[in-house]
Amino acid sequence: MRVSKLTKFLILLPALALVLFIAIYPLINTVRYTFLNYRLGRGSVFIGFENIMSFFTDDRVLESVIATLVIMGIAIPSEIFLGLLLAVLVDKPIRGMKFFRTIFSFPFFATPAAVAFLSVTIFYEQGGPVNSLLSFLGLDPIRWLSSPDWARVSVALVDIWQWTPFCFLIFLAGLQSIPQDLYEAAWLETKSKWQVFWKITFPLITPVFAVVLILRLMEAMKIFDVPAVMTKGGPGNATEVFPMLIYRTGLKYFNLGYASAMGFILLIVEIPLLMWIIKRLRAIFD
Amino acid sequence: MKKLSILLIMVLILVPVMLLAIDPNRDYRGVTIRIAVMQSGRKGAISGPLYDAAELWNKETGGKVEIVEIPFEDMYEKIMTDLIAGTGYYDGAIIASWWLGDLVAGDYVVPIDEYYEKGTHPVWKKEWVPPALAILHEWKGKWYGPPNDSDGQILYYRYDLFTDPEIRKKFKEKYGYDIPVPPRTWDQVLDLAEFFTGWDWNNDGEPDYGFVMHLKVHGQAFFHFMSLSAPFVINPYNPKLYWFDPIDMKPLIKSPGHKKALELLLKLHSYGPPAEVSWDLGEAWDFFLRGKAAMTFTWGDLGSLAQDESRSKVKGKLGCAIIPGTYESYDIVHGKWVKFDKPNIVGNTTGASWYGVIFKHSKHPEAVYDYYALMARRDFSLWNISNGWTGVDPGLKIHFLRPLGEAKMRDFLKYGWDPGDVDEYLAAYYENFFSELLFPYLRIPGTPEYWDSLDIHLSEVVSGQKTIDEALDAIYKDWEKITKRLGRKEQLKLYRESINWTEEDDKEYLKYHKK
Repeated sequence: MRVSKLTKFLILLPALALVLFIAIYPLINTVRYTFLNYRLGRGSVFIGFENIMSFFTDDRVLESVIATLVIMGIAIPSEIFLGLLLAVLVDKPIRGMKFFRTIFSFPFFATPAAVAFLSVTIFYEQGGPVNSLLSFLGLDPIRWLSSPDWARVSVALVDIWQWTPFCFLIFLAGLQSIPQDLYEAAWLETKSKWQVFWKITFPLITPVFAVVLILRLMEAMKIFDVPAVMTKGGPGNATEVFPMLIYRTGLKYFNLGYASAMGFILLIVEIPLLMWIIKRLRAIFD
Repeated sequence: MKKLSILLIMVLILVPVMLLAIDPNRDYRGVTIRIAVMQSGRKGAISGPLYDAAELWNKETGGKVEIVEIPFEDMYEKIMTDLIAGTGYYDGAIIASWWLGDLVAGDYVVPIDEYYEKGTHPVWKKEWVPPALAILHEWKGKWYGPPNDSDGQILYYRYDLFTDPEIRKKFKEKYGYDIPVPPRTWDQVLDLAEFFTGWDWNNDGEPDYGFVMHLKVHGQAFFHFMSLSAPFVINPYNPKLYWFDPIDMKPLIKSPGHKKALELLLKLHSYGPPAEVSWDLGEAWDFFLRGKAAMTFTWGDLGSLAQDESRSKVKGKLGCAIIPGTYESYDIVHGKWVKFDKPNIVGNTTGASWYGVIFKHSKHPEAVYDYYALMARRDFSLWNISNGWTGVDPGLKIHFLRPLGEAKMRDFLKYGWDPGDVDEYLAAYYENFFSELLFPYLRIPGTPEYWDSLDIHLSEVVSGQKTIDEALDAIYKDWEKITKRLGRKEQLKLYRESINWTEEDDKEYLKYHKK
């Protein structure tokens, strides 16, 4: 039965309308606001590229980008390394391994805000469990939440705890897709586990590695709930990550124009960056 | 006989019905109003008493109240988003005083004078409200909400330690003067803070501290700075200028007085636990209540929490005083330091002083006013301030003990207060709210953003990320950006109105400032 073009269009129309309303219209509006000075209760004024220029001269933007990159820089490599390590350790046909696979996945399903609240207690400097343990071992307590550097580490540690299972699950799936006869052939050539890992396992899971890296980068650039609950962006603005700054600018200060500019610039930076990463990794795999 | 019996039965039925009948001027049967409030729970600060008031209001008027609790950090955004979008979800909200500028500028709220004058709603009197607090409810002579909470910070100290003979002897040996009870200057507080830091004066096996503050960024730490810095900048020669130049709206934050105050804050922090940089109100208060710090300064909540022996070791040991002053203050008007023979003391209303406003789009504005007026009524207001869990602090004239006000000691004792603590607490608050000099509250549009900048850069100083000069420079630049974005002329006009700056003031100011 042939379906007319009009019919096809009408069938698609509701979905199209939804996408336009939920995604395209807000995006266009965001771009529009980028060129406006929005003032609460006093209307908007066209200011051209002023919001975009402010972005590049705003110290607070620079500080929030640095905070985000530092936290991502600590968290992402650690999550990938630990995720891969756990996956390799667990990918064995030994009794009880299914239990460990389940246990290792749990943190991923916890609510980030709840985890962050719990972390405040864990990292509590005066008598919290971590500092108590350090004191017991004869070490100096650490200023987990009141020192700018350690606050970034604390946020990163919580992120690592929460996202390592995600990396673990994806790596595990990748490992389990490698044909066993490759390993059988490899064991004939060498007794070194490291050689087998480096020559067989690692090259074959590199596409998985790329997927994990890209997914983590995309998600980590949006990090918000953990620092918002744990440190509220402090001390000072040491852990005020970029999404938090956009949120505050738009919804606390109602500087919607500038917030829109920030969000728009983030999008412009993020997309080409990810595309470049994908291109580079593809070149490496090829 | 039969007729008499029938008559008696009718009287027995009708009289109670008549007594329970709703006042026709306050008949809100079928009306439901939706009020937003900071989230603290049914028995939590600020939100809790709304539930009690709602039950009472329902009995008196038949009306219903739907209370919507919103976390403090999200409340401003949620309410403003609702108002800007015109959704009209809330009929009113219990607001923080510093929001009034934005609400009036956006024409989102309704003045209450008309309802107050009617006289058919629960009675409260404007005369009860000290000028320091009244100004928070007003804009250009119109009131926007009945009084509810009265915020202001006072100094809390351990009266028992300050009056202990052994401790007093040791202090005098070290500093050459007796422990002042109460301390009246920040220099005295610094000596006391230093004295009580680093040794175990509470015999718990751990060294204790002289001072504690809640310095967490976005945790109301900036209010500490405001209360502390007031006497360094506000004085009889400059009673109004703290925030901006009244001629060109340039920030005044880099004045020598502000800088000296920030140096003091840093010194006080050195006598407190390093972790306080990441402490919210609860953690800092808990530290004092557990008896780990000899002094702190904060809101009235601490006085009432001190009475809860399940978490407080300081019940019956409280000393309270108005925020200490200074012998030297910077006079911004005349551009010089001035010295005083007695301490320059400045009261404050730092904090939210939460009260209810009526949104313009509400279909039941008078019902909303009636509900708020009930909470301001003498009986409910006295109940509110004598119960510590409500978070509503005393400030109205009726809250103070006779002969200053109308409250009685037994009103507090029945809720478990220690009588000595009551005396100290109320005396300090009376002195604070009725002080001759008062810290000028900022209520112009953009206040949350100005204060956020102050908060962040103060936190950078105490956490060692910036020096004092760098922080004050950064605040200055931020405030200039905000003012430019919001419109310098409009901001200046509203700022001058908010501090009652007149042309007479201009004449004096311009003698010493070239503009």
